[in-house]
Amino acid sequence: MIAITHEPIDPFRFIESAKRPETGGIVTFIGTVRDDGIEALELDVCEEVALSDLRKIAEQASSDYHLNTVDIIHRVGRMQLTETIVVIVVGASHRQEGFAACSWILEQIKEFVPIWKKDICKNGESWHFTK
Amino acid sequence: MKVTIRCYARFRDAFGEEQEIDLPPGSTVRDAVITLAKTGPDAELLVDDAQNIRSYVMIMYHDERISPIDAGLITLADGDLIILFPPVSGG
Repeated sequence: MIAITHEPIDPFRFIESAKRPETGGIVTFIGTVRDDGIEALELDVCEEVALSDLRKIAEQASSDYHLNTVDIIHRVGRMQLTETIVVIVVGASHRQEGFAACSWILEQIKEFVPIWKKDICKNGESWHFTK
Repeated sequence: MKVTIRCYARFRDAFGEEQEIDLPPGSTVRDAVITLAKTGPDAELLVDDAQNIRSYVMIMYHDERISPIDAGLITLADGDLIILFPPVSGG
């Protein structure tokens, strides 16, 4: 599944559904809200473009790393500390391709998918903005 | 002619979610971004002192990403939509 959601994500559902006879390893990345002195995190998205980008990333990863399954679920909206922001689950025949694919997918998301984090603090709010 | 510029995240806070701007015929995407920049106090977020679009600005035009460097080469039509993304921070 490739999705953007406002609801909490259950990663175990996607791990379980990634099991295949031809799959020897399921690599999962779970991104969570870290306490950098914030109270909460708010994520904005251009959903139409982001969803299209995530689908293209998944297709590319499947092809380049010979994956059997790919799931990318990104949450947007307001999240509290420790809540799950993103789940990436890849099913591969061999571990090397699974680890490499999962890492590559995350870096692609961070490079160009139109999703933005805003820190919510006691004293105000500020966008993550790295020029 | 009129074109619409839609902004997200940090850019939306500075320039509003969506603005319709008037431009003379033959104007480019770069002209539109410069015009938008002048509408707010944070023009330097979008353009530098030489009125070049900042390299980190992601521009969507006709469902395609275009480089800030190429923005001066693309001529707009009446009713066009330009979307501006600040640097992303998902994942």
